[in-house]
Amino acid sequence: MSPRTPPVLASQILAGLVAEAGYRDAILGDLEEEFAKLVSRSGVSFARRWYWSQTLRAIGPLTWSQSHDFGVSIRIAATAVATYLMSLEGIRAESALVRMVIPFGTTTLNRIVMLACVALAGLLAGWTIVKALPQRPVIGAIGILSLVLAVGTHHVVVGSSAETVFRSMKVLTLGLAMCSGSLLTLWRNPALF
Amino acid sequence: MNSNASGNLEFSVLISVARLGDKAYGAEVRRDVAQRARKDYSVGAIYATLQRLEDKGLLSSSDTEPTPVRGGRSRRCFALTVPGRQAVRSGVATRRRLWEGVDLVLQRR
Repeated sequence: MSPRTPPVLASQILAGLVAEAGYRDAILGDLEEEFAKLVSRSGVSFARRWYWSQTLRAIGPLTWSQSHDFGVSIRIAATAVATYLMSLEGIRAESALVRMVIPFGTTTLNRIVMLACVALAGLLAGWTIVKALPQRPVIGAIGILSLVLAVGTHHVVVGSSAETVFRSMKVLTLGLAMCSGSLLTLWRNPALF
Repeated sequence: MNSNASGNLEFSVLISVARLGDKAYGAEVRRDVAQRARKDYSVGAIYATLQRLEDKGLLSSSDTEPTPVRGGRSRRCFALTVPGRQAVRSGVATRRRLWEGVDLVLQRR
């Protein structure tokens, strides 16, 4: 990815917020035009920070203005549910993850960082899966199936002896769900390769 | 359908489109409104307002040819419709009426 191009993730977030193609092109085009001016005037890092700030500030107004569109409302609601489930499962699996990924100790800071990472990964995976489901139904379905498996495993299995094994399974299925979300993002953005 | 530019930002965007004429596209409207209102509005806030005004029938829009500097994307240019022009006239008249007599009161204090 060239550093002189706008941040891909920020563009994707904006593109996902606007249903009408004409408006989507106009917003992304305006930002890219402004980004190019800022790069030559103030440097790439300033321009990228500006692009991200515009993206974050646009989430509220654009979500609100698009909410009258039924399809977009459904997508936002489904994303919220998927994100909630994935983040919840991630947080539940956090102690197992901490043991697997950070074997040298579980300080408070480690736990906070892990929780933040898991919640963010859940948010991104949930968003990409639901957003790309109509275009890539098979991979999207795998993501959702993994999510269901992760949630189902947690609720079906009880008992302390089996819990450790199934916790690992839960972590794996959660990981699979997140990987398929990332795969979808890569598939839709070949420039990331 | 509400055919008035009810909010402050809606009215600011509407008169900015009137002022800019052929050059009225999102980024230029944002610059103009920000400069005059001395407030940094986000691109999202301006476009959400432009879309709302178009939904109300006060603005119309058309896309230009895609350009490389915009990543191969086109510009969306906005223009006032007939109800849009009426809304500007009515908004200006209302604000003038609201201002009547205020200057005298402010000078007294």
